[in-house]
Amino acid sequence: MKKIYLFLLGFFFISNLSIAQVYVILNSNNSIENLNKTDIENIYTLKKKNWDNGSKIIVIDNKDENASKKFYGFFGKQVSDFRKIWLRAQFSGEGQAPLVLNNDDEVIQKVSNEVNSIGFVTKKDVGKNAKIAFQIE
Amino acid sequence: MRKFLFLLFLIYASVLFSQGEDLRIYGYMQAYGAYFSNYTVEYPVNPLLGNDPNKPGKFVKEIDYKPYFTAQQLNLFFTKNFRGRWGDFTAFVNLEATNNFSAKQNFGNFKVEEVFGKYGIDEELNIKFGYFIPPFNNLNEIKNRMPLLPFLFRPTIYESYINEINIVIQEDFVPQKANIQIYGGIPLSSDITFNYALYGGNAEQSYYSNQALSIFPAGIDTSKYKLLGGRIGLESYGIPFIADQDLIFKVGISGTYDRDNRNKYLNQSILNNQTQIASLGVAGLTNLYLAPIDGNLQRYRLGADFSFTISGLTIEGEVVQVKYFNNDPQIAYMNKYRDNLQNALLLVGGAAKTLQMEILTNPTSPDNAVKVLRLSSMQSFIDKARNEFRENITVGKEFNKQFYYISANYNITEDFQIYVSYDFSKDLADLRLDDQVHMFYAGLNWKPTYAFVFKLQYARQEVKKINYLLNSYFFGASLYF
Repeated sequence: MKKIYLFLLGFFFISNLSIAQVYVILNSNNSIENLNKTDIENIYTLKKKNWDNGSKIIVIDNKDENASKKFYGFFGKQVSDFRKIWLRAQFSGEGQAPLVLNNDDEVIQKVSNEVNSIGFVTKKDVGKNAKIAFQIE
Repeated sequence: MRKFLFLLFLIYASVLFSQGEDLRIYGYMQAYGAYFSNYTVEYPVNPLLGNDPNKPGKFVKEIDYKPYFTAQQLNLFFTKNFRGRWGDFTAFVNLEATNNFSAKQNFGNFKVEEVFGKYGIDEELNIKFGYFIPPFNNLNEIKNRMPLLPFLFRPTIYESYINEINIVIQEDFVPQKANIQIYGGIPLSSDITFNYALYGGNAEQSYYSNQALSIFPAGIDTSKYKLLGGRIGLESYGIPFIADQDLIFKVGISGTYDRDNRNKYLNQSILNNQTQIASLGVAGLTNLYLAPIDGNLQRYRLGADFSFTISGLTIEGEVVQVKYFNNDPQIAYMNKYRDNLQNALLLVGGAAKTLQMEILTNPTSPDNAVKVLRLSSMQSFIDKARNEFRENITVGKEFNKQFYYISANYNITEDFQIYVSYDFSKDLADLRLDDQVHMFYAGLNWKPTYAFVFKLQYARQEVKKINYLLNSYFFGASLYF
């Protein structure tokens, strides 16, 4: 019985470890090296639509439940709160809802290929063409 | 030369079109099934409808509802952004089809709901020009954005079904369209933004001409009355509140000034025609004459709204008050209008009956030719008065209106939401609605995916004055694509 408890505890610990961190990533050619919490929140609430050089920001949402809960929860909100903001902006012509991708790999690939994009993933290894601009503990 | 210029134009247009970002096409739809309980409506008795033997002094209408399904709404959006040295430009088109639209079968309705160009210098200053729904409180702009709303059957003044069957006219409570708007959001801190919008546009739709007039094609507002309105408010997408939870909020006040078109009975009534009334020669009828009066009432709408969200719980509400300037003469007119019209019908009806009897009892009288002519004039008056009475049977004695709405929504999980809502409305310009109209509704939403929302709703609508109580049950889905 003790072994089962230990196993469950271990499994719980490992499964939580796997979502312990979320990384906000940019294309490696983006001149910005670091972002702060306010910047990211402004981008994901569509308040900030352009990078400082004037290029339009391509915002990417990650459908992976662990990543999205951790990421949006970091801003003290639920995923549905953000989706409401996006839909309202989209339906009124005031903004474009983020591009929704299925998992970390798709997000990394898109960010690697698109210089003005921003996404979030749970993987630390984001490849050569992407870089980590913020880390959520 | 012409061909060359046309070619040049084509090249220019294609270059211009390709300068913007990609054209984005997206949309949403909502379909539902509904079951309504049977209901009765009790109107006060009048000479046209007759009396119910079981309920003296009342005319009772029983309505037997059947369940039905409907593709309630489909909206298609086309958006294109253009970036320039002077700022961002956006073209936006919103096409809307409602209630099982079919041109072949003549079902439903299809329209260009919105079309506008937007010029944004920055977040703080934007200009919109075209034809669009203006901001007024929280719900007006999004009343048709079904995936954003938990409801299948919306709050009373926003429900197009109630609007279409001509019970509550949306335009009487909230502005429907504007044509130019200046708006923006000014950050007050990193978390709070001050929003403002100032807009103008045509007068209400009853002022639009249905046919071509002089140089104006049909569908143009040919009146000199225009709409002015605006909203100011504070908005936050999150300020730290309890523990690690942010509070999302939005509060604001709104207002409009325009004209309410009540000409139909304030100066186009049969009672305004003094010559015709006098020519009938019916004793007492001239006392019922009403001098025509200005029917373009100065109206202002005032609104206040709030919305607070924390930890998945959203509480939102709004208030609308519709008031009129300098309308004492119109109220004095309205206090006599229905009674006078009804009495005129009774008087002329009685006189016509007497005259008819006189002709029938003495068919060879030499006066009969004159009497028949008089009878014909009376009959013509009765027909017109009866039509007018039928059309304006629900016209009240004042014009002010009120609407309150409150709703609580809770996300049990990210995908599962429940809500309860209540609204109250009162319209003194409508005899049926001049006391109290209550609507209570509750429901749940389930979002199995990002783009789908399944909805269940119960609604109970009550209009005390006419003893109307309707229980309705809806199930349906909104789909965003």
